[in-house]
Amino acid sequence: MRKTSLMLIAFAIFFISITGVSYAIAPDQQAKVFIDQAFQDQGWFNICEEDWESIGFANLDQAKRASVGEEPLQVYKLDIETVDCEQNLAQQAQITPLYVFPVVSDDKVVTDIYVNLINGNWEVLKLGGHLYESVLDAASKNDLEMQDCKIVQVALRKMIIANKNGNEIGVSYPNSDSLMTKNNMKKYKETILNEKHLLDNSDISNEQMLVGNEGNNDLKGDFQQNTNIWKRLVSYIAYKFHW
Amino acid sequence: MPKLCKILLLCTILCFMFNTVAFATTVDLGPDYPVKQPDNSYWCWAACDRSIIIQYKGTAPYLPTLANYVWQTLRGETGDAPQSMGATVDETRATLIEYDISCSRWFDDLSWAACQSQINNECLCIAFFFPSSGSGHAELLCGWSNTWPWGDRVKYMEPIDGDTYWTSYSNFANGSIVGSGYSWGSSIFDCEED
Repeated sequence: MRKTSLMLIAFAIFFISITGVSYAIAPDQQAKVFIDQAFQDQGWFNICEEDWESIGFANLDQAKRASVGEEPLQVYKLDIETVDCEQNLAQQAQITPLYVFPVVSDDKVVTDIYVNLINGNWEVLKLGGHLYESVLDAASKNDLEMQDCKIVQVALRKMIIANKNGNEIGVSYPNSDSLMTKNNMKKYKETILNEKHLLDNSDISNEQMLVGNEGNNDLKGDFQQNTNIWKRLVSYIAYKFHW
Repeated sequence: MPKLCKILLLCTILCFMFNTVAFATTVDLGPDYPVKQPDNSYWCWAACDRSIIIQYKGTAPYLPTLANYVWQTLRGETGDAPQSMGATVDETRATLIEYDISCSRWFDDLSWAACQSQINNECLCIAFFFPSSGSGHAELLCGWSNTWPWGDRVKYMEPIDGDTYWTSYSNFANGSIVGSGYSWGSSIFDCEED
């Protein structure tokens, strides 16, 4: 009886350790650990204070109460050269280590902060914009949960896509009405098809190259980090227990 | 003598602090901000041009008028410019000149010191980012900050959504803010009203 209990306890400890480690080293957790520290330590909070008005805070006091929200959104990518517009786009989208975190104050999403894995290191890519808020609006206006919505990027265009009742619906970002429709997806696919030809001009110089929106954005899908698993685990534990 | 040394040391530290703490400058983008390109259009260059014209004139033609100038006058086409029309760096510059804004352009990025100098002189700059294939993208540089110890930051307007963003100068210069396949390959700067 005693032996069985010990075995059960050992199994429970083993199971918890394995799930704990997997949780701790998950990229979204690592990104969260990174941004919570970087927001203060790398001065992004300071930028919110310095430029509060154009970032979208109501006043300086609101900017002083800014913090990074909990649930990041992940950006997915489509390869414009290989995407099959006859199929659902969300199914072809590949996950990338680019996360959009909300910057919140007074329980309101004010702006976004983008965290990306660049050359194996987590970095703040930029602060600004209203992508997170747009996804919240789109989910709410289309009776969807936020986690049902995917941000999908092809070249420089972003689309908020979801699957509802077996149909793929979406809305571009930025948008004016947040209404996700099948027709928007059709237009989006037509745009992608029309733009594939632009990729055939790789030999021309910068002097001749046209400036528009559509380049082949090689958004990296590589999750390889420079820090090893144990360092990541230690930093995660230190963060969780506020060491 | 040791007292004098301490005072000198203190003065040096104070001077150092005052020289390195907060500095930031942004150019006011004016009452018509944001200047956003139409959805699904290729008019990022026109949105940047319009912002600069507004900066000097207080008002500016709308984007279709700027695009039509390139389409009809520079290229000799008929009808209205399609929204899928991109422009070259020289066409972007020629449009500014048409509206009495003189400016310089070169086919490279601007150094951190040059970015600071332009913004300090209230000059908005257009940064052109080019991919390995496809068409490029234009961003409007409109501010900088280098609050110690956080390093060099720039503020830019993204014509796709009309919002302003802050990023590190290095991520701006190496094109990461647009995409990993891009690099900052051309600039329009030294803008002034004729």
